[in-house]
Amino acid sequence: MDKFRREISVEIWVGLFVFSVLIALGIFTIVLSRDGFMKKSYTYEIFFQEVGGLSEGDNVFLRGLNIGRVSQTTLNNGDVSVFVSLNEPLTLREGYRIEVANSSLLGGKVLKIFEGPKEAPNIEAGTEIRGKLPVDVLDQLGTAVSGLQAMIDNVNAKQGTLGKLLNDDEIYNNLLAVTDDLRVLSDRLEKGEGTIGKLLKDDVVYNELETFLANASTISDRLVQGEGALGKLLSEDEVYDDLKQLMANVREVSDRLAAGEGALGELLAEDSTMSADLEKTMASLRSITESVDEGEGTLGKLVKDEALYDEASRLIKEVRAAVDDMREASPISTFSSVLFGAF
Amino acid sequence: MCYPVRSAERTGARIIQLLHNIGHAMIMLMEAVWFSRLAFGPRSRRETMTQMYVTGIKSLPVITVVALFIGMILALQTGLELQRYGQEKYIGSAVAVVMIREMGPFMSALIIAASVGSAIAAQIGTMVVSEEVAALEVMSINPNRFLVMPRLVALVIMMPLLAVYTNILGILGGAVVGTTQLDVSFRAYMDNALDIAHNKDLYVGLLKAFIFGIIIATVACHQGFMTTEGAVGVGRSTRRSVVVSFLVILVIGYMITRLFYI
Repeated sequence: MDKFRREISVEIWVGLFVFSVLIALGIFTIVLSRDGFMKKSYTYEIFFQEVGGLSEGDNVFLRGLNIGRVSQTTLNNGDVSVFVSLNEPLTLREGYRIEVANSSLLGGKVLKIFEGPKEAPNIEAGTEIRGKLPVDVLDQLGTAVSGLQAMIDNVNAKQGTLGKLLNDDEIYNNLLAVTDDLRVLSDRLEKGEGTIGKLLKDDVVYNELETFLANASTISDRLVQGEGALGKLLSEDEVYDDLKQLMANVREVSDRLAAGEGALGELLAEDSTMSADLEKTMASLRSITESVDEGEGTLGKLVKDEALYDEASRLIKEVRAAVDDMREASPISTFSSVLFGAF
Repeated sequence: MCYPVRSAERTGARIIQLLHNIGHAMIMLMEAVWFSRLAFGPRSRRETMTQMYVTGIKSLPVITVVALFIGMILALQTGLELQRYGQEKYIGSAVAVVMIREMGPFMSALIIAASVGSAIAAQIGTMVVSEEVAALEVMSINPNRFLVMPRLVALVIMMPLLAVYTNILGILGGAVVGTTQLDVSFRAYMDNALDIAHNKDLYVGLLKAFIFGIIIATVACHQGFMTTEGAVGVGRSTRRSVVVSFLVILVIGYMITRLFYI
């Protein structure tokens, strides 16, 4: 009986162990396959001219998030077909970009997807999705090293600015002379000579500059606060509008003048009759003033003849005296006429 | 006879002996494979289950300790180096890949070769020197069917299972060190561990474990049958069983890796 129990116990233990490990193996397999057991996946085919070492199982990133894996890579009529299995549906827009990138400095590849600008339209369904040629970092590094080597060769051959700078004594001597000049300049500055020296050493210049800056600050403050004509012009829209209206009026007037409209415009016009009339008028006026100046005519005599002036002056005085007499006699005559009028 | 000739003769004899042993082991293995269809039949079932119990269940304590500490050591060593570059979160990847591809099958094979293999060699060796095996043959019982086949079946079944068990415990051991010593969160550790490893790694590891089971059973049984000279011979067979198993496991392990990863 004990032997039987022991055999049953052995079998139970072995069975439990085998069963448990097989379950663990199954879970392990599902987890490592990275395909969600009940999860829906979306498969897309992307064409590449070259994939640069991208292989099955490599991660696929969208906006920096891992959204799936490369499920298969096959050669296809001069291209490489890369099948990706994604956890999310992919919506590509015009200007999209798909590229193979290094996952780290130590190697490994990932597929990076950029959907395209947000405002761009979606690509049509059934459009062939194409990826970019991968960038080979080692190739670029090799090119950079080649360029560096060529540069070093040029420097060694005393070519170019750097080569001459490192190998040519003349440049060194020039540099030395420049250094000497700079030293002299700095000495002069130290002594306060010249404009910049004074600026550095003389407090008066500094104070004046400070005053000037303070004034400038005040002015700018006033301008900002909209004070004064210029401030108002900068800050008030009304002033600006008035000025704009004024300029429009000036422009209209100038346009009318140019078009020969109005009296002034007609006067400015080349074939204007008014201008001729004005010239004639001016000539007549000149003639009249000349006659007056020469003492011709009544007005000329009045201006030039002193006897006539005296006669006229006396006449005016007498008329004024007669008017005064009449003003003094006026109340008496008025009273008399009222009195006698009553009877 | 001069020394070079004697030396060449001795070398030739050793090579012939080696080939003879290999031939004997292969014949024994083929016979055991042939009889393995009867492993769970009424006459062999009990012995097969007992061998599976001894190989699998009885080995669990030592394999548990070894697997946990292998994972912890791997995590600590790689983690300390990665910590210098601020990349300690990747210890999960390192531990998982190393355990699943190599260390899981290899360490479980070494433990089983050292414990179960040596026990098989000692048991059969004792039976040989005490002429029990001869008695079996007198009774027309094929020693390969009666002694080798149950052990072979038990080892080829239990070795892959023990390898999976070792993988899981090794990864968990690494997680213990990662979370307690290196401040790597369990989630980050597991994400990285499962991110790099693939099913191919797991199943190539299981194939290795399966082949290691065949190697351990074949070497141990063969060394047992080759036992001579009483108790001293049993000890020698036991030692040889462990040494030869280790060497063959190393060489075959390399070849399988070479076959699947290059």
